[in-house]
Amino acid sequence: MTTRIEVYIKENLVDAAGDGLLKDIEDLNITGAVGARFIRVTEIEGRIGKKQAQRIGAELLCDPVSQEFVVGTISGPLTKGAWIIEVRYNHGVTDPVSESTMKGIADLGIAGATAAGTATKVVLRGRLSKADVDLISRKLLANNIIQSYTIEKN
Amino acid sequence: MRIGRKTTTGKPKALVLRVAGINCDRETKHAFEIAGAAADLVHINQIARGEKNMKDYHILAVPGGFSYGDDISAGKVLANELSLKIADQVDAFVAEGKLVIGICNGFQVLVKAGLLPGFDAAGGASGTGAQSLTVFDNDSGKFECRWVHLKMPADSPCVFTKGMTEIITLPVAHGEGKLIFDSKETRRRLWDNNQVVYQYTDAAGETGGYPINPNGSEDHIAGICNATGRVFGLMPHPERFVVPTQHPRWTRGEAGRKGDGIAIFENAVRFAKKELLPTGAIHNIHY
Repeated sequence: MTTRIEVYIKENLVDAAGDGLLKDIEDLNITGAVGARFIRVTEIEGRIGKKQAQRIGAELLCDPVSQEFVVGTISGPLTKGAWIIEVRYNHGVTDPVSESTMKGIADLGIAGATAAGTATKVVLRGRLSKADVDLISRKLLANNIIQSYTIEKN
Repeated sequence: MRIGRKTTTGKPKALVLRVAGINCDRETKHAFEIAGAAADLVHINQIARGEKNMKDYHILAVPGGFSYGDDISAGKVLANELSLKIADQVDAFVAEGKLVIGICNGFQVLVKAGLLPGFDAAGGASGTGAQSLTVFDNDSGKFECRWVHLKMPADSPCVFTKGMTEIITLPVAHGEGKLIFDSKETRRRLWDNNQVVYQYTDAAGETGGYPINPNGSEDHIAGICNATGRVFGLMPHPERFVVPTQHPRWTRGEAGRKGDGIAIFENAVRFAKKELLPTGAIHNIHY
């Protein structure tokens, strides 16, 4: 069973990575992008209960001052109407953050997690075609040798 | 071979904490040693397993680096280790009034472990608690690696910076150095208690936006201490400027007589000698 936890920066704070992506998109001569936010996705394999998942989110994955999290997939105004790009490592590629995550879960005294994986989710807003978003994903977000990505319109 | 000869060093002992990814531990140890302390590099697992006891030390240093790769967020995994694995020893260490310094990644660790701002720290109480501020991504979105100017905004109870009223210069090297508060109340208490130890300024001592403030830190804050002044954390690296030749313009005579950072370690050692070493105690007896 997979438990998915998504962590995002509070809306009133600067998302420096998102702002940087907007500038990089301009460098691709793509106009129309008006907003970008990064969401960190963690997927934990094994027997993790709801309370344990909440605890992993609150005490390990999320900074209580600057971030918020959901167990599952974020819905609502944060993602509604936006392009959603999700970038993850290909099978067989080492995901070093997953190893630290497994250590952190063990430090919390939570047993039952057998593996962890990470992904980056980007919420992109503006007047963009799917071809634009595909180019942005290929050129700026994913290294196609070791990563793959999916694109959805929410 | 020397046999039967007792010597006493009378030096305060500094524990320089190590885990995977920390990379400023040797420089920090060196800084304490030239300031007059005896310093040991100690892996956190040695404390957790009982091979090393924090009771044997007077100063705890959490050095800079990228503990556990700064995965999840900078310093978070090590902060949880302090809070969960060796919490009793850390809490007792602070409650006994011993000294703690967190540099860069170490500052991030102290904040995320709740050791700073430590509003309620007092005799016998560590003041640890829920996290009320954090150190977050630089506004520039970049790793900032350069020299900055720092100034103490007001009298501070900080033991480490006693008497350091002049503007100093130190290097920063971080991607997550922006200090932000959870509330206006936290911000007010920090200022009311004079717990803001250093602000980023220009060479004339004036605060300002980027690049004077390298990360967008609220109120241009570079370092804070707890209520007792005995737990101190800062983003710049004092251990990287302990001799004049570490300054990029030392050949032009701009480095001063001593490195600006060494005074922080000397203050700690001086305080520990006076307040934490029992009078007449014999330390480190060698045969």
